[in-house]
Amino acid sequence: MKAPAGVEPGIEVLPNLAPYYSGVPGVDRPPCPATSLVARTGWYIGDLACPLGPHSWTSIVRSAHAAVAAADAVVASGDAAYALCRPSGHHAHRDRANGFCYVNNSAVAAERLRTVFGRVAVLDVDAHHGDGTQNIFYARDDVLTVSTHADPAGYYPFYTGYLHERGVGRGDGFNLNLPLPHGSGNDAFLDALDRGIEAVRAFAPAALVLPLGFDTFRDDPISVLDVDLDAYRVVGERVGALRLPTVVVQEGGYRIDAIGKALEGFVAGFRSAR
Amino acid sequence: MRAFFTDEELLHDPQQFMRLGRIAKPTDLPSRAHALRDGLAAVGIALEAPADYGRGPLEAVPASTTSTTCSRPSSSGVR
Repeated sequence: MKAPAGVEPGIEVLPNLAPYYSGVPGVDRPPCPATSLVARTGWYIGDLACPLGPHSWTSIVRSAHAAVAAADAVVASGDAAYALCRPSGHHAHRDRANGFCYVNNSAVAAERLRTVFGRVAVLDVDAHHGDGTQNIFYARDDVLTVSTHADPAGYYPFYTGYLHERGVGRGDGFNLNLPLPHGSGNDAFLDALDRGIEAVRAFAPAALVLPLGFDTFRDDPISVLDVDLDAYRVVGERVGALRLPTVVVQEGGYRIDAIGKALEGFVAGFRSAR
Repeated sequence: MRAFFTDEELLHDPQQFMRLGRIAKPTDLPSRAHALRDGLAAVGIALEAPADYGRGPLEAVPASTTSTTCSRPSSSGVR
């Protein structure tokens, strides 16, 4: 295995994460049976990318509140709002933190919109599969989940994000994954976006949640795609053209000197389409 | 387009994460939020602090009624 530039592999093999399994289908995972902090940490934190510091919980809750406020603004206006969420959310399951994410802000927004609009689509364009969001709504037919992302066979979150995952039970047919070969540039990324938008149109939702990541950018420190900054304006234009009440939720993007420009381009494109 | 954020989101300041068998420096830096704020300012959008909604909206996220599939094991990865 080739390490990314600037990353020196460790002296032994140690896992970063373990696959999530929530128990028997139809039965929620019970609360952690042990009281030990060590046990509860393992139960509720799914990988080694979710450290908890003394003030983390404050940020986690307030980040989710930004998503709630954006959802409420969209309910009030029928237009669009943006939630600057940090920490991000789309890898978080209902009861488990994963991949820098602790509470699933996009799912919080989607559920809040669902109670008003009835039918909601989630179109995730972060570089990583929105696995937590998929898991939360996997058996639902009133929330469509779509995700474009780098092929998970060699990229976080590894265990889901494949084409054949279409939902289950009533949710069968209401999940769509659009994995991209590593190295994909704007053309492949935007083609996948178009396929996602097509699925959203076919679902005919009353509202949209857009988990928006900028870690697809070619110079992002954890990127495996080759997308340039021009792409985000196009994402804004095409998603804006859906003319749906839309909550934009910030997910990943770690190139500090690029993500402001990326967001600026997205908003400009989105506005131009409204 | 209204936009929501509070400086309390900067308090989370992770110091490390596991990457390829080594503890690595964090990439989810608080300064990310400043960069995004600046991007919004460039298109004339000011950030508003969200109300305190408590835990209710977080706990309203539905429980998954089934587990997702684990497609197949992976032999390589970058995080």
